[in-house]
Amino acid sequence: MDQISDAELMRRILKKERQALEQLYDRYARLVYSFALKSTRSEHHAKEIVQLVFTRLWTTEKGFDPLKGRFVNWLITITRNITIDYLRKERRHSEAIALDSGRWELVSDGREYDPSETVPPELIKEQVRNAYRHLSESQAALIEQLYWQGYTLSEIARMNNEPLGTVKSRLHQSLKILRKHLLGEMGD
Amino acid sequence: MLGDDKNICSLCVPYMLGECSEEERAAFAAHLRSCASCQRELKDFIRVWNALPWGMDETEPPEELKREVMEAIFSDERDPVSQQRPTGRERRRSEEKIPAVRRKSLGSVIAAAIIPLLILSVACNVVLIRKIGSQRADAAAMPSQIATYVPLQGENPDFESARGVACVVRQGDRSTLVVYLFGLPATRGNEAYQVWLMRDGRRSNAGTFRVDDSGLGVLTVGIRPDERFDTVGVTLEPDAGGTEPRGRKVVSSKPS
Repeated sequence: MDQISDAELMRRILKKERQALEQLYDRYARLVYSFALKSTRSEHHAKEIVQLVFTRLWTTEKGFDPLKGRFVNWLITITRNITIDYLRKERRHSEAIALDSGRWELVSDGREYDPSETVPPELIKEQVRNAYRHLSESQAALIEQLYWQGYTLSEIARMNNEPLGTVKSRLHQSLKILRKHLLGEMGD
Repeated sequence: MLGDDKNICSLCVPYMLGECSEEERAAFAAHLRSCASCQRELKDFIRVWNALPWGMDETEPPEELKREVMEAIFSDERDPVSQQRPTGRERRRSEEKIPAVRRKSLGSVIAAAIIPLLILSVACNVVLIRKIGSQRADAAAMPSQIATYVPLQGENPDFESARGVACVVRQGDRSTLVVYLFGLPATRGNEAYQVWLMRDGRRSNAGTFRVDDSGLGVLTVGIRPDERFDTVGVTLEPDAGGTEPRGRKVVSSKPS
């Protein structure tokens, strides 16, 4: 059973085969749940997000395009979009910048950007954690707010009462540090 | 403004995040074609960005979640009412809306629908939420009922005008916690009201909401059918990200 590829399961889901959705759930519910739990810090919210993500997989009309990279990265992009949308609605920022779908497509735009293409997940986990240790407290907090909480740079600048340029340059520094410790070890 | 190369190169990160103006986006995209250094930096930063989630701790979801998720998705398939509804594309589009509708519960649309329903239910303790369900045809087929209902009262002189209710609404085997409050001071900046459920001395976070000048606040959140609580409390927090109360108590229910 487990030999069926994720892409094949998605094809079956498009044909409305329930079994395929259940199999994908068994493979990835843990990942989706963990992501949502880290972002929302709430079991209630994480469960709702799992529901939203799998409902999206079931109702997607376009399906998954294997040429654009691995399924798991596509799924993470969907999960992050849904999670951030969820958090934003929760925060009810009336002035929030609407999520531009193009924005996230850019980030999941093809195999060459896929960090896990050649490296086993356990190794990546260790590398990411190790890279994080090189960030200062304010740099780590910025990544947390930006990546996990889904705040925009402008929102973070407002919240921290800092000039936008300061936040941008902190992010630039943070990404450079992460790059040094991640890509250096990933062996490109 | 975007005159020199250094300024344009500094747009790399905002460009990656989609946080620049149309003018900046177009200028950077044009610049990118000829700047090898920006091409490399953008590519690297995207790879770093995509690697971030892989460092997280993984947690096993609750065992019953699969059944809940599948039932929510496939209840529509079994629903005979669905035969009367549009099929194919239109129907799929309506399914796509399910999550959005559920999440909009924090927004004014659902607040507007739920307030009269809550008042009605408090008065008569009758079946409710049919109206909300009508946004989702399959849900309307199954009546909802208030399983638990507790009044909430101001805890502190600053919030003496705050009143409301918390109730668990059951529909089939799905349960939703609804907290509706009025007379609340509007939240400012990042402030958020946070709802806590207490059981046997243990506290869990049920979610957060913000309030505008209307003073109305609504939270609805799906909960496990077997979930019980002794008391409900609401605090005003400096932001929506806390896992423990840090702010002032606003309202609470008396232990039942």
